[in-house]
Amino acid sequence: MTRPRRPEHLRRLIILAWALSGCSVKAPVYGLRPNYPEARVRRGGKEAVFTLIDSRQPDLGWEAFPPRDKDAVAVADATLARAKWVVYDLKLWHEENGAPDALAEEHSGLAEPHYQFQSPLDACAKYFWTVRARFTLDGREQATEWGVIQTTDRPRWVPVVPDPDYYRFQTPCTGH
Amino acid sequence: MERRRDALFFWPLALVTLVTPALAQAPSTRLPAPSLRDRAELGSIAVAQSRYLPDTDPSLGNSISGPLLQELLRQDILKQVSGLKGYTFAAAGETAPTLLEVRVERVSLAKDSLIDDSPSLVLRARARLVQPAYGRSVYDQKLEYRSPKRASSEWSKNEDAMVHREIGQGLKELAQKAADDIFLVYDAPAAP
Repeated sequence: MTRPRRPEHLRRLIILAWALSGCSVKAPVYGLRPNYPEARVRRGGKEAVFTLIDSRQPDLGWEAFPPRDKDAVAVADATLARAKWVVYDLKLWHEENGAPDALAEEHSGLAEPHYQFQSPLDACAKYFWTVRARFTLDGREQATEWGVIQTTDRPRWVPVVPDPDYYRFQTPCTGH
Repeated sequence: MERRRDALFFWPLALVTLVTPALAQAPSTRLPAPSLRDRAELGSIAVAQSRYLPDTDPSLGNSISGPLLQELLRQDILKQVSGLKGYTFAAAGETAPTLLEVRVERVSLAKDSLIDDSPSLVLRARARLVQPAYGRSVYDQKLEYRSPKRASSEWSKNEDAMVHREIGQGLKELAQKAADDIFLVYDAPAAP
């Protein structure tokens, strides 16, 4: 007559709700894919996550240009095999109200697909960042699009700058 | 019986684990920018001065001059395209087969909701590349700059100093985005 299972079911429902709200997956992106920190989304791809990093002087890394095929042997787009003078541009913004605020740092012409910050970033702070490759193709300067997370949240009929879908991370509250 | 209940509990979790990555791959709502595959056909390009008077939010007062806004944007565009490899830009006053016109269409303070008291300054712009001799437009894209949100009172302080600063920043960002999309961004060849 009694219903002893109810509290147990309730506990399990809470665990399920927690799992549903919290789990994140690797996000699809436009542009160069970030290697560290990874771009992640949750809620079925609607919400991009501020990935917690382990240092206030992170070594941000991204996919090298030109992108390789799945076996990392050939360049995926044959035209891009002719690309020369490849460099990378990186931008970092402070976050406010969930959107990019003031530009914190900007680095142009990086030779390698990673960058370690020279001075510590703010502790417990959220940042947006993006990267692109610039190169010369058949005598003309070209670039990839600035990298963004491909969310499914809202229709984007008009491109917005700075893009609220740039990659993002959160710095640790302690340490360097 | 207990084991069966456990199974009943965990199958939704397993389903979530399998389905969530698939949902994350769902088609994006982002529209692709207009394609400009054959930029070699553009020839010489003149950066045109727009005579369009932007629609200005009344709450911003009369401190914004439409013609000045268009001229500042044109100057920012010229800075962005100077030194671009592979393109020829006509000097001021010269004619060219292709005209680039980037204009501000609207300046406003936009709130996310009626109760939101921290609007953003929004600049709506339009970038066009036209070839008058052929009567055709080869590129047409709307763009938007959205500033960080600020309390309403912040915007009107010091004779709209914040408005003017954000307009300056917004014009630079819009000019860079327009120049990147038109001249720099690589369009992958269409799949055969």
